[in-house]
Amino acid sequence: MEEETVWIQQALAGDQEAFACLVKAYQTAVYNLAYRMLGNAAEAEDAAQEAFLKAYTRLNTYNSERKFSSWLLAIASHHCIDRLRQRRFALSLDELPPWRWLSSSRRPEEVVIRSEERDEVRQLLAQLPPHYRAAVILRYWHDLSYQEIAEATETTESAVKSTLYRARRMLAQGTLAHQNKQAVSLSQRAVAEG
Amino acid sequence: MTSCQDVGRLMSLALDQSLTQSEARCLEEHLRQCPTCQEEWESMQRVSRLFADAPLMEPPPGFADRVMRRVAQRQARRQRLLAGAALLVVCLSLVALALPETIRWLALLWQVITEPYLLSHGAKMVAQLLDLAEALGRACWLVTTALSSSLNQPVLLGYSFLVLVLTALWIRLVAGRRGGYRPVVNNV
Repeated sequence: MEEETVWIQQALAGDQEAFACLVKAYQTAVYNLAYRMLGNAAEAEDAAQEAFLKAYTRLNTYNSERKFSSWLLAIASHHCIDRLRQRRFALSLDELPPWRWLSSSRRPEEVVIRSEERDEVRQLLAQLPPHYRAAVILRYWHDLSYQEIAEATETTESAVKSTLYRARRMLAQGTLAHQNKQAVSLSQRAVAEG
Repeated sequence: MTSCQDVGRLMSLALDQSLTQSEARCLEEHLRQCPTCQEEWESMQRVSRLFADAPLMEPPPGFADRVMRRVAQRQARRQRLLAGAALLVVCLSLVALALPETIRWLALLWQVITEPYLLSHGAKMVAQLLDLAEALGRACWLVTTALSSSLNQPVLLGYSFLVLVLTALWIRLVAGRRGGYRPVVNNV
């Protein structure tokens, strides 16, 4: 942790090598957040790079009483939320809930590929509104406390609890609806065949 | 009896291991009696396990280098902008400093140009100046022809040669000094 403080001070004095150390230390965290938020590798890389650039230019606003990782992840999540809002009206396949994918009869080979666990995670996250998504990712992949998520998303601790509850309920109900739909179609097929 | 919505909040807290003992008992009791919530709880647990097991995504190779390249580019652009802004400030300051003096000179010049005497007698004065220049030219020519006729040709040639040599020496001295300048570099 002391090493990190030294890097921050040196980077503030204009030392780019010190900032490179910070980038190497947090590249996985920032990239993972961007990837989970945006759902594709190319956009995630660009967003993660932008997040680091913003951190570099705003380093003088960093308050050393806060955890550097929380501060950095806050910048990255805000940037990703902005990007998601910008593409809100351009509906992409990533935005579709998983049951719509699975009920699609157009490309069955793709359905099989998409049913892999990694894609399931991606599709589940894609159902959530941007700020719900950010809270869930910070909780599960970055193990941030309610307080830290509240700081990162500029809300209160109780708002974070409420957001996580709503997001989890949305995910659970979406999955249940999908399972029920699958069960109905299976029973209809069985009736048709039998 | 706790409502299904309150139980939903308790489920979320339970997934984060943030329940008190009494809340945990309350949740357990409700789930035993409510199949809808039980189904939702199982679904929530499944999604939670899926997320908890999903690994951190690693950035592609060379990611940190690409970030640092962009940082360096942005820094260079920022410095260029700062230098441009500084230059602009200097130029504006110089203009601001020189402006009153320039205005004063322009006003004076305007006053001279618009002088009634100058306007009416301008052409006459120019003619007089040309006459003066012609007279000076004639005088120079007379001096030269007088020198060439009174002195011997070799003396005149020698005198001209001496002037040329002295001029060449002076040029060489000045040019040599300019070309010979090298900045001091400390090779540590």
